[in-house]
Amino acid sequence: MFLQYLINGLSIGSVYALIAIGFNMVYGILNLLNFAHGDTYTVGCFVIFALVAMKLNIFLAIMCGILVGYILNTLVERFAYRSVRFSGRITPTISAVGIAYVMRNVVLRIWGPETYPFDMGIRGAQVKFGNFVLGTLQIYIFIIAIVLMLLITFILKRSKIGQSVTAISQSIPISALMGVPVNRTISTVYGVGGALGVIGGFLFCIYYESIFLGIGFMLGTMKAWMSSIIGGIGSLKGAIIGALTLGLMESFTGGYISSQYRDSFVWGFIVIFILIRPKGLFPSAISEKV
Amino acid sequence: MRNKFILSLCILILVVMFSASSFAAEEILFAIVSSMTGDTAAEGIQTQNAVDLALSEINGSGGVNGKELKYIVGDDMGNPPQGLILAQKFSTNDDILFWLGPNSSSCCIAALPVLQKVGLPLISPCSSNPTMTHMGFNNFFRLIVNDDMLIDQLAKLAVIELGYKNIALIWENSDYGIGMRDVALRAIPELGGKVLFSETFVPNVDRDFSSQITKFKGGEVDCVLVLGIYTAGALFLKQSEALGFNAEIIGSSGCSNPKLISIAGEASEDFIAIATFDPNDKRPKQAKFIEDYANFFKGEAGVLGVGEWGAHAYDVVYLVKKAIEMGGTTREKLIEVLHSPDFEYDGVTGLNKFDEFGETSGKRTLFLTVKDGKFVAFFPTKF
Repeated sequence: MFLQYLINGLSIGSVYALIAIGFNMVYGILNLLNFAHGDTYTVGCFVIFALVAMKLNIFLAIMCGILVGYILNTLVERFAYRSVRFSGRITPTISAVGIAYVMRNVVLRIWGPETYPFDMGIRGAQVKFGNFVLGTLQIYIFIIAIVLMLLITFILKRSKIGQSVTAISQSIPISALMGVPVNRTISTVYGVGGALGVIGGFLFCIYYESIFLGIGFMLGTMKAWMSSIIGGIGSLKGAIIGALTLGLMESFTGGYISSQYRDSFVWGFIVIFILIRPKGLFPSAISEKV
Repeated sequence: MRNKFILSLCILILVVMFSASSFAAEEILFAIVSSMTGDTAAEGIQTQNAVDLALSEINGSGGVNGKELKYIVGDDMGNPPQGLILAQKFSTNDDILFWLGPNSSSCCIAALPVLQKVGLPLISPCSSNPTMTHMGFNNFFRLIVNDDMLIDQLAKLAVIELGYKNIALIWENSDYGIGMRDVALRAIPELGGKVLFSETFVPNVDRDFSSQITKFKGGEVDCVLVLGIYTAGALFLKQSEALGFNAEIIGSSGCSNPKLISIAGEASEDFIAIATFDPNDKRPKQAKFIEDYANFFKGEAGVLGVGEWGAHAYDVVYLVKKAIEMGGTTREKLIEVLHSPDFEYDGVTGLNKFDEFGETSGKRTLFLTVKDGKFVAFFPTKF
């Protein structure tokens, strides 16, 4: 059963990776944990769900959902982060938690707390080799995660906006002096982070064929955060590796050790890991002002 | 001029205050506490709906002793600390006569000590953990048959009726799940079966059962008992199908909610759950209740129909009405009347009569199986 646990772990890890990429983008630029990340994509996914229920074409619905995620995250940046940008670390984080609660409660008001079946007509085939089962959906998710990571890394390195982003991550005042449109660039980063989150959330819902409002915080933000701690916060490569590692840890601990104490083991491992290597496996170079 | 204005304002406020309190004396207040949000939200929603139906009938025909029944709602989210907070909050409100209590066993256990202190009776429609009635709370009553009986029946279904010997348990990590697990671990070997695996999951949080399913698959399990509530049951069914795990899957009464079918889709076909209420019961009293519920509600609740939570909650309201009419007008007297050996109420869930521990017994249980996307009743033949 080792191989099946491995496949399961990589599958769930890929889903976490998609969510972690969006989360890490924001952290990498501004050194701020976006606790509203999960709830932003929850809204986006519910929008897709509602549009498909109203018989809109599925691709259009996905585009709308991604757009909603983009816009919402820029709004989060505008109202929860921008005004407190220079007030240290705690204030913006709490402010984000606040706006996350608002979004979660809007979803609760409109769709309620129930779990709904999320049937988009997209169903992967099952590939069986002997006793093992691999879904083609799982393969697609894995590939999408890698492709997105490569795409974003490429854009950050080679394009003008990528360079603006790197400049801002080093110093906001200097970038402004150099003519970089700071506010607009930061908004774009948040927006793209939100859009990526919706893609991740959507694939998460397809994978489990269900949607409910808890996909945001519990399963999104927390897992993304844990992945980033393991993989190295601020680094996209780290986000993916961290997420896959998290998925594998959950799968193997649940299978071989105990399903009852699985979370204790996983969290325990993370605590020990932070003590030994606080920067994570592949930390991005974080330059400090001296 | 100004002084006259202030004086009239004060008089107006006093008048409003007094009229508010005199209005309160015309009604009987109780609290509904259940999980209105979270994975088990269908419980709370169905409970409240059934109470609304009962209240419309009772208040529409003169109320109880001429007074209207009214309720306030507390959402415990299926989360025990939240249940405790609600107990502390409501225990300071002296107008509340009783709690139409949580369906979550953990939430009941959390709230009972606080409610005992203020003598507030907690009448739970469906919390079924067997140990609760023996914890020494004289203010606790429950209408549902407890898990000792229910899981015993489920074990008999697996081993005697269906003939499976290699059983796996998957239980939710809560008082409800642990209580059921303990009964299953005792009952299955007694009947001649073997429990090969006993795995768990965190209710309301865990979505992924692939580790547990993979383990069961590798161990040649032929029957799985899902001891949890409908959302987890549905996800387990779906993921079992996706992973090619073909064992028979049967579930506890928390899985007998039609929402399980709506979430699991085709994967739920042939799933069997034990139940305390048949949503297609043709007996006159029950059939009328089912029809009234469906007509009273438009929207999802009506479409999916009522189940055990709604049925038991409906009975709680009528039962308390009878008790109040028999003299149970204060908290103390209500507890006394409910405990008295003469008190009984024959409702849609059967004959409700409490023993000295607040337990009911002698009610009918049945099994529901999914056929063509709907729950259909069946009664075992071999036991």
